[in-house]
Amino acid sequence: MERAMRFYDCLTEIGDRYILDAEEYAPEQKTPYNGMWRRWTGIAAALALVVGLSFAVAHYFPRMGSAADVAAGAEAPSASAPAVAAPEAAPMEPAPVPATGEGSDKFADAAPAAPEQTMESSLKPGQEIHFENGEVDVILTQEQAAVCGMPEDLESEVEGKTPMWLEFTGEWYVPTEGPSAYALFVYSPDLGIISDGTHYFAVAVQFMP
Amino acid sequence: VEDTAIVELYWERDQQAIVESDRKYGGYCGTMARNILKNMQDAEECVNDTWHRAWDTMPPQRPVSLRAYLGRIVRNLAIDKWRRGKAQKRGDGMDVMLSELEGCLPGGAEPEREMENREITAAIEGWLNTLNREERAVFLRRYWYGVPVYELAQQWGCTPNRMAQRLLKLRTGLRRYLEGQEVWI
Repeated sequence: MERAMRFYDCLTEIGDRYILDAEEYAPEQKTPYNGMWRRWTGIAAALALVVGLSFAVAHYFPRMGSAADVAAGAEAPSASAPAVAAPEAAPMEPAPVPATGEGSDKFADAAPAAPEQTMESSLKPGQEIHFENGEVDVILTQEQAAVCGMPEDLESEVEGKTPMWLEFTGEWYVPTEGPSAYALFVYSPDLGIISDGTHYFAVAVQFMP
Repeated sequence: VEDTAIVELYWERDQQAIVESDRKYGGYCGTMARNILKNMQDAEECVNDTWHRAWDTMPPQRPVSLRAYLGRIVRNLAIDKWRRGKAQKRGDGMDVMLSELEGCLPGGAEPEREMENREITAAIEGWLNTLNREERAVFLRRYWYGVPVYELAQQWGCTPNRMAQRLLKLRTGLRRYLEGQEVWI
């Protein structure tokens, strides 16, 4: 301690210019250190996590049908049921034709086209679907059908409607007016007929007049 | 008021010198005293003693820089007060007695020691000259002005740990320099 005091005394006697210069010197301060950066980093990370999770939930988590949808069907769709393999297990047959309407007859011709599809639909919410010449345009997998929500009574909703196009926005939407085309949604018969409600494999068909 | 005018007032034995000194350098001296003593009351006494010491020493002294001159007085008074306080805190009768006696001894009785101190001071100045301006400012603000490390860190916009590392590096450099110059304290 004595040596340090002696050093202190000696340092006291250094020249004026050192003393004044040290006081006048203005450090190049970039950002004042206040120890808050950890807090702000934590808040930013938490916000990023929330936003990321929200995005993931909105885009990658399946949205199951509402309670009303489930109640309408005989059984709720099974999440574990293989969406692609099921149709291959039993060959699809033409779906039962709605009793009335022009489309009823043509539906029988169009329905066999369903097995040609890979059952991996590219249908996405908000996508516009155009049907031409009675070809099967879209096949929904079970998960996709569950996501969009199936109508309680598909037959009655489709029957007699003449949509030219179908806008898929998460709910089935069938315009009541339009050109003389006809659209039907048909369940794979060996997995469940229209009224079954157990299986949600759908084929969208358009029939030209 | 210019420094030269204040010095003139001291030389003219005008009490206004103390008033002007306090007005211009009261904050500066007070901050330095507080940095060293860490006690508001002691620091205030130290500043008042500074004006009296300046009054006693001018004349004959005529400092070129009044700021540096008053700063030196504050440093010397502060360290003396600190030593006395330390002796009293220890409660050791011998410490207190020696501390009391030290005050009545005539100064300048150790010419050899003073000579050595001047050599040490010259060596310190030599080392300061090897530093750049920024490093010099860091060292002197800490060890001459007694600025706390956290405050220095704020001034330089870095963490206190980083500033402590910087000071350690400077002290190590000083030690090597003094050893190289064969200056022993």
